[in-house]
Amino acid sequence: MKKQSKIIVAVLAALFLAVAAMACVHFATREKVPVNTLAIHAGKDVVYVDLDKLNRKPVQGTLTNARGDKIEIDAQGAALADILRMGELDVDSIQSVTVSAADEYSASLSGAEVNESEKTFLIFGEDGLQLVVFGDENMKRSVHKVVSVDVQY
Amino acid sequence: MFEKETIMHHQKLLRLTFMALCCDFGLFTKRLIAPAANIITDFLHIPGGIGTSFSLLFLVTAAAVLPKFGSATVMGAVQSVIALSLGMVGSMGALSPVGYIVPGFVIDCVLWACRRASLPDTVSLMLANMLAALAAGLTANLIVFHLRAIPLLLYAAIALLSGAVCGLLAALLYRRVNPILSKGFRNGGFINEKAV
Repeated sequence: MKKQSKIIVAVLAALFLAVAAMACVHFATREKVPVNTLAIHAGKDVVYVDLDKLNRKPVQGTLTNARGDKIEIDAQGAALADILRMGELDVDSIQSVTVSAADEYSASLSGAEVNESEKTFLIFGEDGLQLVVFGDENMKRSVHKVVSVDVQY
Repeated sequence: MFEKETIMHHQKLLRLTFMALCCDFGLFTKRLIAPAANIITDFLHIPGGIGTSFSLLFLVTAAAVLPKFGSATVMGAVQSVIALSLGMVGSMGALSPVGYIVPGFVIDCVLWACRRASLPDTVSLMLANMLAALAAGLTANLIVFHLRAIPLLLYAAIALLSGAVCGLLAALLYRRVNPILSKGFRNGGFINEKAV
């Protein structure tokens, strides 16, 4: 084997090992949220909301994606504020909320947005829980596969 | 003299056409590979990193074919204009040009440094693709993802690994394409051989 090929193989092997090691650390340290459950963090407290016990209602409206296309939403879900109330949180004094997906993608909402009527919902989509923010210019905050909500007071 | 100028003109045109094609390939192949890439990234619980590496291989190949500083940055700028005009801005929104131009600039810098150091093509293209993928990933993280330290490290590692693999693919593509694109200059032109 040529020297150049040896270097390339060594680099690839080292990177593969780095990915494997980082993946192990990531799996070991990431929060494990039980299936069909939403984790709500408020400071050091963690509350798990059972999604089966959620009072689901029809959520309908129109979202606009980055291209300006209109996307109709017609699904079952609940207002984010109602879900936070299920976790016995004082929704009125919330400063901001960060909604995170299983793949660590997250979006932030202000307390005012959470409290605004018919604005922020968690709906049950094809791939799990999805954050819907009506009135956004793009769907940047449409987080899919939502697993946790971090509340800041 | 006139014949030589015409052949060089055709060769330049051919290379520029190839660069334009690579801009398009880079943009659209990202969408094609996304479902396969998502299987891996979903398993690892990270928001991406592989599709971009694949799309950058075309930029790296084109930058190697036209070895001038700035060619990849220009291609990145062209890609951002195409993406903006087609509404393919993704989650970066109006900042999406940054996500295209930064990797292009990194490719230019790495290839320039590799040319200065006289590194072999395969190593140069692999390094360029690796670091461009890392730059693209870090830019996306800065603008959109805001990942915590550990997922960010995993995201960077997967960008480097997929960048290295795609860099080898870029080297393979370069070895196939470059002789064809250089043929006009060396053998008296293959595009319009009879005309000249």
